[in-house]
Amino acid sequence: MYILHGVPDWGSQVIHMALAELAVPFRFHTLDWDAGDFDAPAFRALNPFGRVPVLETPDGPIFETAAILLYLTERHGQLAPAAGTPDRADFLIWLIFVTNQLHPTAMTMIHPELPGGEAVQEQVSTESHQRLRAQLAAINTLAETNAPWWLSPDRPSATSLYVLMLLRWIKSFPVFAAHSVASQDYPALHRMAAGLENRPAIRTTLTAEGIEGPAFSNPPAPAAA
Amino acid sequence: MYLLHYCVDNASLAVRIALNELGVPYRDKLLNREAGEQDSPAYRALHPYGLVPALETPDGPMFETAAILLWLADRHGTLAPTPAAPERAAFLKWLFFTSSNLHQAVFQMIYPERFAGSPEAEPGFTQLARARALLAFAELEKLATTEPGWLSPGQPSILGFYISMLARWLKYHKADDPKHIDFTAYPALHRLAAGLESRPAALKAAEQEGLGATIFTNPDY
Repeated sequence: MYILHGVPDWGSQVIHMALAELAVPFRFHTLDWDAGDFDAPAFRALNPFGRVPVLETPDGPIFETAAILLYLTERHGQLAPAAGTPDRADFLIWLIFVTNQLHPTAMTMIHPELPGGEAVQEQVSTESHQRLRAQLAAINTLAETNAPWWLSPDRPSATSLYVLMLLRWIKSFPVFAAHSVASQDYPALHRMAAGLENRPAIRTTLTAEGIEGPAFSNPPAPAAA
Repeated sequence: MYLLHYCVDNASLAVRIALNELGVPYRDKLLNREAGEQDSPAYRALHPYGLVPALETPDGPMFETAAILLWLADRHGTLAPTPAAPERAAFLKWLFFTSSNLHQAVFQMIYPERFAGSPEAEPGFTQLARARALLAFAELEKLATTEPGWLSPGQPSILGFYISMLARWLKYHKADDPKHIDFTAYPALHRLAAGLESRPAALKAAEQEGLGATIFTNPDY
């Protein structure tokens, strides 16, 4: 039995969706930021950096989103091309692209004060927004031209579920509303989001996290500051 | 046959050492940055944002250092726990941690101008990136003290080479530099780097790129 430590609508969401798609037994343990759960010794023992997601597995606790995803795909033989197959190389590149490039850039628009302090947060957000556009264009081009199954609207993968979560973030959560990005600007990614978000396992996950509507293809615009 | 696109003393070094360690045939091709070759359509077809390394493989061109290293280890069945091994979970955790935290933090500390958005943002940005790097090194030091098989001075692994290469980059910034990090403050990691740099694969890479005999612990730039 897996235990996923997370918070509804936070970075644990992609692992939550992957577990649901794999249809394996798991328990979701919700952490409460205000109650100090992230600094609790029991949680720090699982992740010394006190961040979610953490997945407790038979092989020990794992953190780092992409590491958890890759572990799950290898253990269950789904949601990724297997090691040794010809499209493994491309899959790994883009999974790591999403976790090393797209994810931190999206995160910076949600917390632009973190990289350099509050005084410069608008410049930092502007810079991130531009970089994000280039990154999205790169992965959209891949989805349009190569159309790998692991970026398609009808079959989920570790990478596509990860992109879905980030599409929600960049539309709904930027601090500067002008930097909000709509998935419609990236048609292949938009189609992928619209296709995958209606899968039963995904709908179940979203309901469990208290989210309604087109959570990834067309989530709400940011609240006015 | 692999083809490694590299720049001297760049992130391509970890891939080169891994290739040497695997003992597989490969060719290399220097990317001419002065001539702007990283922006040429031919190179952008290999790597959409024009960085190194890129590795051409029988399954197509690859980029992202961690992706290349993991793919090579899995393909050749060495330098990392295999997908079915019980240590795979811990290994993946720390490999991705190194890639998305340590590598990014060190890179952002060295090149704040690429991320900060304005010159006045750079000092604060550098300081915070350095703080993240220190935190990451401290946690990896604790891990290295336990000497798991996939992170020990006597046994090569893609993770060991990756961390050691990042340590090499630190020495560009001397003690009076706001970007300075003293790698000797991490004795277990230092032992790891010293053990790995004396391997034939690392010595060969040092010779191929003209980097001196102690490439990780006492780099000669």
